[in-house]
Amino acid sequence: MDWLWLAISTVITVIAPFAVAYLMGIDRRITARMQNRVGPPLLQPIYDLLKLLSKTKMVVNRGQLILATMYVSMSILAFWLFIAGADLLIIFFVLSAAAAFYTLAAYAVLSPYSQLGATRELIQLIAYEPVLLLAFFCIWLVNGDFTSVATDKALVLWLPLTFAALIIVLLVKLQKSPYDVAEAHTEIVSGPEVEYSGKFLGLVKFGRWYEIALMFAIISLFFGHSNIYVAFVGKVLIVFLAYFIVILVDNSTARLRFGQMARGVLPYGLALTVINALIVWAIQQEVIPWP
Amino acid sequence: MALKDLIKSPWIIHFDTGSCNGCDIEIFATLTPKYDVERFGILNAGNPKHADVMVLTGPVTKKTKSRLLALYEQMPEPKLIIAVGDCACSGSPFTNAYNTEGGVDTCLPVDVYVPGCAARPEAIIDGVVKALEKLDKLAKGEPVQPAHMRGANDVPNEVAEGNAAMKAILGPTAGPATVKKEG
Repeated sequence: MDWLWLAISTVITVIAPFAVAYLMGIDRRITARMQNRVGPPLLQPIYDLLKLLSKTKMVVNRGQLILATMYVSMSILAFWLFIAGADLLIIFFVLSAAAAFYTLAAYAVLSPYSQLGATRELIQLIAYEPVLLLAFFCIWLVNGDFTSVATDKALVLWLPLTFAALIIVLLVKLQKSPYDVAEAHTEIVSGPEVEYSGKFLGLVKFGRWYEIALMFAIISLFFGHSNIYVAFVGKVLIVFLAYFIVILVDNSTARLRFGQMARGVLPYGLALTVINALIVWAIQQEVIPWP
Repeated sequence: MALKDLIKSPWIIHFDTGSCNGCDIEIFATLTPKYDVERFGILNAGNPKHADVMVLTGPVTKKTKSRLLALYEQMPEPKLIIAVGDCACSGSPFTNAYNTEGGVDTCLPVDVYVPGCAARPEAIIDGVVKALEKLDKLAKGEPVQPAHMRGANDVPNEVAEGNAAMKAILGPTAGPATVKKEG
């Protein structure tokens, strides 16, 4: 890895959360339009973050803050590894570590809402992680290696079912209904985040933006082209498509219970990815004739 | 500039200190898509640790006072308090009642009074805007209008007139003064 690429990847890592914040602003506007209202300014998530960071410090439990800081740094590390072209499996494990720290931070305080949220977070971790791992396996099957460097194959044509499974994972990761069981604002008052306040809530939200940025980066792997401009436009479009589907589902469904979430994500996600992997394997082994 | 940042994203927590639910229903109406308060960045946080603005309805009863103070102390600075409805402004018909402390300003510093029985959603939105105007002036270092910076028991004219009228009817010693104890 040369120094130039290291610098570029660091710059992208710094910019990424703000791009995600802007996307979330668009999300809130589209959601508002779907509910027949005007909606907040596009930069609203940034305003929210600035406000949170400018509030006074209130600490419930120092241990929770240490674990939350670990969560944020792991999220940033996972995203930077992706941009630097690391192995998808390493990224997967760093992302899992981030989610584990987030859960531990929620368990570190005695608030029942936080404890309940942490348990739900663990259950959704169990539900979506195998699907994500199998999606990476599908990408390996087509690309031939596990690196996150973009190829010029349009993976979405090879792996449409895996793409659908990743949208289910995206629903969980973005805390959108019907799978916003861990956050569940109207039910358990934002679950794992209930005990953070002011600056530290801002910090955790910032870490979440990195996690979402990584999810969008994984989605962007599904389009590639030999021409770099076509590839860029295609990647942006596929991210917007995935996000739009997520917003549409979010606005047309109600939240399910966490058991229903696990029963929805795990079997359907696994079935979609495994069937897709089998079809790709069959084509590659020329079991199925392919032109 | 802590105050300047708060202007664009005030997250509210609504607490019922003993209201008849009339004002509560108006607050829920304010949060519906019809009035769309999210366009001002207002969100219903439902959690004192995430909230910036506390919206209170009803007279403070002796039982809710400790809860109210606990919630207030959990909110990180800077924070605002809006008293919605006549009861929260001054205790209105419950002034000197044996089970209430009176208006919110008997316990906590109120920033904006929204009178009305019940206060209409438009008035509540106006109250939030007034609160944000106050923040804007404080952030710029300008002197705050006296109307938005009333001290304890210094209530809006309409409410004060109402109280005076009630005192005239009931007499100055309305309510069992011997029952009313501190704390």
